Amino acid sequence: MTKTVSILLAMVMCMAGGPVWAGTFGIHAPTVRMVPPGQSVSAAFMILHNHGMKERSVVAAYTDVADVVELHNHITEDGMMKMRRVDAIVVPGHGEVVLQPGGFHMMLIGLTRSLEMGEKVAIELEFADGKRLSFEAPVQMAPGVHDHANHGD
Amino acid sequence: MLKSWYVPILALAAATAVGLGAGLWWHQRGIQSANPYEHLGGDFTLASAGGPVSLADYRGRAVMLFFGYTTCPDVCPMDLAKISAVISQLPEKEAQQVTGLFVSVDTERDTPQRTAEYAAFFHPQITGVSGSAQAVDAVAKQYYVLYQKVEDAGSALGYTVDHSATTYLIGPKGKVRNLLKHDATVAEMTEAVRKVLAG
Repeated sequence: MTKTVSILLAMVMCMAGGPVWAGTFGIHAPTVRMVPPGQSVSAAFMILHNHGMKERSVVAAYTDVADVVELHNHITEDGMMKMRRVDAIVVPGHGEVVLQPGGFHMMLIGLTRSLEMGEKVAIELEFADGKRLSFEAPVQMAPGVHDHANHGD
Repeated sequence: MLKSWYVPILALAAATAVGLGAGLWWHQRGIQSANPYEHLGGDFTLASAGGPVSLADYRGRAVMLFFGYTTCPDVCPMDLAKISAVISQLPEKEAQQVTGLFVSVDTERDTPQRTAEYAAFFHPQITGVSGSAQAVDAVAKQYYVLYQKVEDAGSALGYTVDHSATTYLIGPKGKVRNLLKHDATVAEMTEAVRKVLAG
């Protein structure tokens, strides 16, 4: 499982291009999930890198393809997967936080139009100190759909 | 002197080993012959975009049954993507004997039409079904699926739905044969499906 995940992650990172940096804060392998036409929500995943000494908190995100972007987390409790809105995603100094299925993610709510495979979606993050960081995330299928990387696994 | 107490102990050890072996064999045999999921699940009928769909419609096929909702951002897409990958990876003859069935537990938002479109997006062989709150709840109870609506006035979503994320693998005779956990790999799921198809 770990191997599969790391291979998938490596593939996603290759496809997504290089990281975007703003000072000591970097965004790696951002993606937006492809959803069926007419679907009103999607999610964005990425790796947040903080090479600075101090912790940085992402408190909001914006995109023109959705009315609202919310920060969410998934927890497993009482045998259920529970999605919860969070006020911030805190990245410790010299640390990273992985936004991935089943964990932290950015929820794009109220899609203003249908997404297209491969298109780049502009996303802007807002930090607790008011600073902002913009980057583009390609629209991709959930791993597994049209994906044969697991052959012979 | 040494030999006189050595022999009975050896005999006792040998007898214990044989006894243990026999016991283990008997135990294993019991596990293999009984279906631990015998009393789980059962037939049901819910609404699809093209009319009522019953589990009984899929006799002779292996069914991967999953409960979720279409506004679910990552858990449901992950599981449906894996179900899709399992079907795609199987040799054509076996793939034709496999169906995905997606039941929405968000009966307020997910109409049969919407559920069907969502499921088919992942694979044409995944059917999406929905229904009244009572109808879906009855099926969830049959399968011991846990779900609950959680209000969040501060969210643009309004509410989310907590739910268990197990895929029920149902055999050609309509009985639950295996439970595929949310973290099962595509390879593990494929193997389980082939085993069920093999009889």
